[in-house]
Amino acid sequence: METFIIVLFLLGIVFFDFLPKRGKMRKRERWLYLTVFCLCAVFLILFSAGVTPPNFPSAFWFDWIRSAFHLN
Amino acid sequence: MQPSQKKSITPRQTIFLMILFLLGSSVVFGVNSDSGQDSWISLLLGIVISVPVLLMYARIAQLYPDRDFFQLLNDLFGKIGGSVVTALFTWYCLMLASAVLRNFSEFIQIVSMPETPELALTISILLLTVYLVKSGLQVLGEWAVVTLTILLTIISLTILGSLNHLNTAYLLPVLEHSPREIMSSAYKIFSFPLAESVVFLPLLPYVKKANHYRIYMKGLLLSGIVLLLAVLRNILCIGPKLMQAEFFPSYVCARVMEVGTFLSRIEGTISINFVLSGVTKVSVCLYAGALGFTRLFRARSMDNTLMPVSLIVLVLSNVIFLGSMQMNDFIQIYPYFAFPFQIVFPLLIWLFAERKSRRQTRLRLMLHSTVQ
Repeated sequence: METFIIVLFLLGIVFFDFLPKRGKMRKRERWLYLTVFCLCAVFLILFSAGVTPPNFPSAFWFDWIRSAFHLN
Repeated sequence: MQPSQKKSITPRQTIFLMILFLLGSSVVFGVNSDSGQDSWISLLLGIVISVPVLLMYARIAQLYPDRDFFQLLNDLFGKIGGSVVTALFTWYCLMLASAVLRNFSEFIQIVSMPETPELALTISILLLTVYLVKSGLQVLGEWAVVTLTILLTIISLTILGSLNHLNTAYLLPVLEHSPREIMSSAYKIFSFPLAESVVFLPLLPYVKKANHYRIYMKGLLLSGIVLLLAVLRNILCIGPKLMQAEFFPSYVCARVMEVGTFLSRIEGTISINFVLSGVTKVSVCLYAGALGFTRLFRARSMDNTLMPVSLIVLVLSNVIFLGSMQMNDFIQIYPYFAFPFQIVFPLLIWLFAERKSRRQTRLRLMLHSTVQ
């Protein structure tokens, strides 16, 4: 279900945001848009398909903050 | 740089926007409650600590009132240094937007829609904020005026409705916690939500005829009063122990409220508060983040980068924390994580901007005396 919602959402972005604007965009902007879009789309589809997202609060700088300020 | 009509906002609307932004998620989560019944003292201290920092933000905006914030960063730190600071500031704005967005979906899922996929909730809210940002600052300002009126009405109603449930004994003993605990809690309140108003810096060049000091101080004072009322209501209504144990103390407080025998279970109104103030907070963060992203990658218009930036926010909201327990953990770490973005970078920007401004004034005076 979640994957279906995400795919629908991404298609919506392509049809209602990217395609109507692509003529007005410069080549550089188009590339930027598509790169970010594709990267995010891959992540979103993976997350919605059940892949556990990377655990942000246990990233190294959060661990460093915890140990430096004795938060545990 | 002359702001367009769609991009300009009045000082009054900016103050309203700032109040809503500062109330943001705090209106439901409450402010930091580590100091229990002394939370109201911590809040007052937090407001006092915020004054010089917010004055510093206002000074940065006042020094170059018509200069785009991110272009100013390039002027101050050079091309590479400016890009690095722009990237970090943009990252902070987007992270904040995603954290608030995730708070939203967690709240809705816990209190009312446990079966609904979180992504569906997040996407619906995100689309609303994208629409608001796309409509321009003027619409965002008008939205703030209408929304704040509704929000204040709801908060007043919940305070009036809880009058017969208030127990002043919950406030005692006053100052039971050590000064260190109270100060630590005050710093956490300063960091979340008061100093988050640093996100307003990119928006301020678009405020017409602005006195930035007044905007920041009025925003801080008025939101401080509302937060104080909300904190006192929570302490007096449900007590410090329950307030510390609950994720959403305001919601629990509204749940126990009863007016006579005919009006009860008014916790839905608290959800409305959260939706209104939360959408505003995400919109402001998204606006600042998208503007930073546009300047960073030298895109022509924010319209072309808004959707990709909102997708980044959506992805970040998935990874920022994995559940309510981690959300709590994140709130504990956040003040330390946000310190560079709220204090260090603005301090550097202020010092560099002050030096540049003084140098320009001296040059102008020298030129003037040479001509005479």
